[in-house]
Amino acid sequence: MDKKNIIKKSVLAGKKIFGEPLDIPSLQPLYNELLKKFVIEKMSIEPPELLIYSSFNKTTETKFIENEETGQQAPVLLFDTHLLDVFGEFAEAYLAGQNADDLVERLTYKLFAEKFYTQSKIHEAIHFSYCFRASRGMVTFSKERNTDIARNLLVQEAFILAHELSHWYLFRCDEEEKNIQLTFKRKLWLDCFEKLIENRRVRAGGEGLDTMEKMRDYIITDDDIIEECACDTFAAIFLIEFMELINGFSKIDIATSSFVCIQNLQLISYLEHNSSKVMNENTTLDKLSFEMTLRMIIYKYHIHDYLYTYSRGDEVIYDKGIIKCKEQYDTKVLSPFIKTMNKVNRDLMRIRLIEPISFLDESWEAYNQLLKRLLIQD
Amino acid sequence: MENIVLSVSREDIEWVKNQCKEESINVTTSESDGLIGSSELLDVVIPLAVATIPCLTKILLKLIEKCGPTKVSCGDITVESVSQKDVSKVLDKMCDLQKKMNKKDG
Repeated sequence: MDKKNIIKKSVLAGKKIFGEPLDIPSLQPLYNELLKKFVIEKMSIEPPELLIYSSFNKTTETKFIENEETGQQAPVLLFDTHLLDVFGEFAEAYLAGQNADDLVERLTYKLFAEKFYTQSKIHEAIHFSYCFRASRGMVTFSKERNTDIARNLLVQEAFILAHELSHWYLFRCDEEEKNIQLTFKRKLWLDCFEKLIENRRVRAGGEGLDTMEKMRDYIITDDDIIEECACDTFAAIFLIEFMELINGFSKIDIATSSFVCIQNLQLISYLEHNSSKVMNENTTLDKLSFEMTLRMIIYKYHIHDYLYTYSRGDEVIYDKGIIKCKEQYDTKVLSPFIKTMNKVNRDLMRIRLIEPISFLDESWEAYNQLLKRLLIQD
Repeated sequence: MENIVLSVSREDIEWVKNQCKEESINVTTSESDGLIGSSELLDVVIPLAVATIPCLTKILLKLIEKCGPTKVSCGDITVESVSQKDVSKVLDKMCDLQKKMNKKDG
């Protein structure tokens, strides 16, 4: 086996891979272009090799691998195209003219089924697979609308790559750069929140002040949220400057589609990381909405500031666009997602009372085959 | 050639590598830094072609003794929390399933 295959086998070990990755001819050229821009800035950092695959894990991540036998060290950016399948369905709901609650409910069941399948939680995975298969959710689009979805997805695909590269180049490979970014962005966004808090005190009679103060405190203490927001804003600005030139997107299109992508990533990330425990509904909703709102405020503020400085006038259209976009996302995606998640949590409380099926049980293999059949659609 | 993957915390990674070296096994380690699905755990990838089941059992037993139940993967199978009493049964079954899968794939 050649070295490339050893790397591939190593980085993909343990993932629930299925089928062929989506055939996206634009992906590698797009990645090469993005990489060129990063490499100019950070010559000394080894660029990750792009590895495209499709799995139920839906993980986009950079892995640094080290092989003792060959002495090889290499970064690899794993891009799971199944994430784009899911984003495609979110985009259908987001852009649907009519109510798309059924579509989001179906997708949420599917996401839970896949999550439990990757964790080998058989009862949970089977239950939500049947919920997914038994629910309806179809939206018909005009040709024009389909083009909107495709363009929206192209920006989201680019955003994911640029966001991931930002993590790699700005926060993972250069300690000095990481500290600069954390210090600078923390100060910038603390100033932003101080202004917002002051505004709330003076103009809104203190309404929502508590939440604003909590967000400010979160920024003071939490490095991860600074890193996430820094990668969001860096990736979006990067694409505004890069994609406008080559694909005829407007700055506002890119800014709003990137914003939708952040919201999608937040939903999936939340589902992957925080729903393994049964939480009470309020905790679930509070945490989800707190982090989403914080990221949104920072994104909104930062991109507004960028447009005001470099493309004066666009910030006014952007401000209106982003509010409309958030309202549309909340109504079409977030609200039905939360509604379904509450049903999921209620079901989970009962399912977890059933004795789990262990990997060592004789029936495990048969259930695993059943799950594959339910989850892999033609 | 398939691999057995052990998920290990950063502070234990050198210890695991040394245990493998004592058994003359060269491993690949992979550190994840993800946008989604990132984890504090690092992967130790052990090729089944170079490690026998008794040898893997020995390493895993020591690891569980030191760090507690451990996540083990092989092919597309992941067992989240393997305890000492299940080590050899889990490894045997993983390898059997892997062999069956390879036969099926031709």
